[in-house]
Amino acid sequence: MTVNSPPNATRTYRPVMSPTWWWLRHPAWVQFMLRELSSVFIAAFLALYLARLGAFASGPAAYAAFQAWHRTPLSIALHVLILAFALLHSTTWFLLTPKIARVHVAGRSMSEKAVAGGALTAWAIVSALVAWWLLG
Amino acid sequence: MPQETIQLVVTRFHPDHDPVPRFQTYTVPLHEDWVVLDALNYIKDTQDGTLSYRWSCRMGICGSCGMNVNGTPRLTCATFLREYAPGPIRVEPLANFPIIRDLVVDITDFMEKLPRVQPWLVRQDETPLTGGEYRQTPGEMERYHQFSLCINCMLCYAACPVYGLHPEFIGPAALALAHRYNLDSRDQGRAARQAEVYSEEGIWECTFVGQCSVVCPKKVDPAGAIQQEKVSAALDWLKSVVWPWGNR
Ligand code: SF4
Ligand code: FES
Repeated sequence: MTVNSPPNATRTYRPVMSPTWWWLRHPAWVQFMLRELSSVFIAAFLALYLARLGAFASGPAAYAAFQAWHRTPLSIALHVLILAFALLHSTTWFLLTPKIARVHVAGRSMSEKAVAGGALTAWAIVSALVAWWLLG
Repeated sequence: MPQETIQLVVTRFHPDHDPVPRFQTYTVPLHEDWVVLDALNYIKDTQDGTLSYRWSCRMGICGSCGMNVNGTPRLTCATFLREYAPGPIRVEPLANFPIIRDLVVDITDFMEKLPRVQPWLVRQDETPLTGGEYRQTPGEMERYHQFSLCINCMLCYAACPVYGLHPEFIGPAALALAHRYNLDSRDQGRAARQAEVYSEEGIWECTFVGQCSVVCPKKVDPAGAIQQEKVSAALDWLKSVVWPWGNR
């Protein structure tokens, strides 16, 4: 935060962004940070899944202990949080798809809404099928 | 009774007197059809002739009236006061640029970056003028048309936190323009642009915040352009690995 005055140059004021807290200055940036943060929760879920496989490999007692932990309020709260961030992660991911992939049909490019809508619908259908297969 | 006036809280900075920018509040009539730029012109004409800002066309085409309005970069000639009623409206210079005075910013950095991506038709086999123009079908034009609509207003730079934190980033508009020429069937300059565009200061600096595309008044979608260039760059790399002797 200084007034620079190099010789023969315009004296200007240079605004400085906080390297740590810059994202608090605009709601869109907070959303961006939440989107990026969601990856951490996806990774956490995968780590839990690996831990489950590890417990499974170590025998029935270890697996039962692992299952018991999953019924604790802490584990349930953690999983609800993970689910919320997983939904945010997937939704933002599919909404951004049309920016990355231009889809051309019959020589015309499809609108962003159509591409994102198609991706979201396909995601919902596949998720429903997987849920039906697992829970049904 | 309908609201008759609205307050504008405007950044003031004079390099001789102000160590840091300050705010000054003005009250202006709240007309249904007044934009922020009308209010600034009203202040300059009737209240304070020392207020400095840039503008020209008043119709969203010259790109010179960009300012941060309530924290979001906007063309002030296309931003109605009524959107912000009852106010007050905070009018600041475009973020991420050095402030010269009041609402006027120094755009030298952008002007130096633009030519680095060679935003013009680059040809390996230049045909003489007598050969006529380089032909193109409407379909070939449609591929890049959107990316050619940029008016250099720099709202996207003001919206980009990456540019704010790392000013060496070439930035949204310049990269979108590089993409525009890379997509042009008449252009042969993609390889020549690579050193700048596919560099750390180019597309790979972008973290896809996406706010550039949200604020762009011309729907250029610089965020899309940059991600599409990332895909092309990644495909180039993949080709060079699986087909190293190929003609890249
Ligand atoms: S890409 Fe859009 S926001 Fe950026 S300079 Fe061009 S017109 Fe302005
Ligand atoms: S005055 Fe020209 S774009 Fe606003």
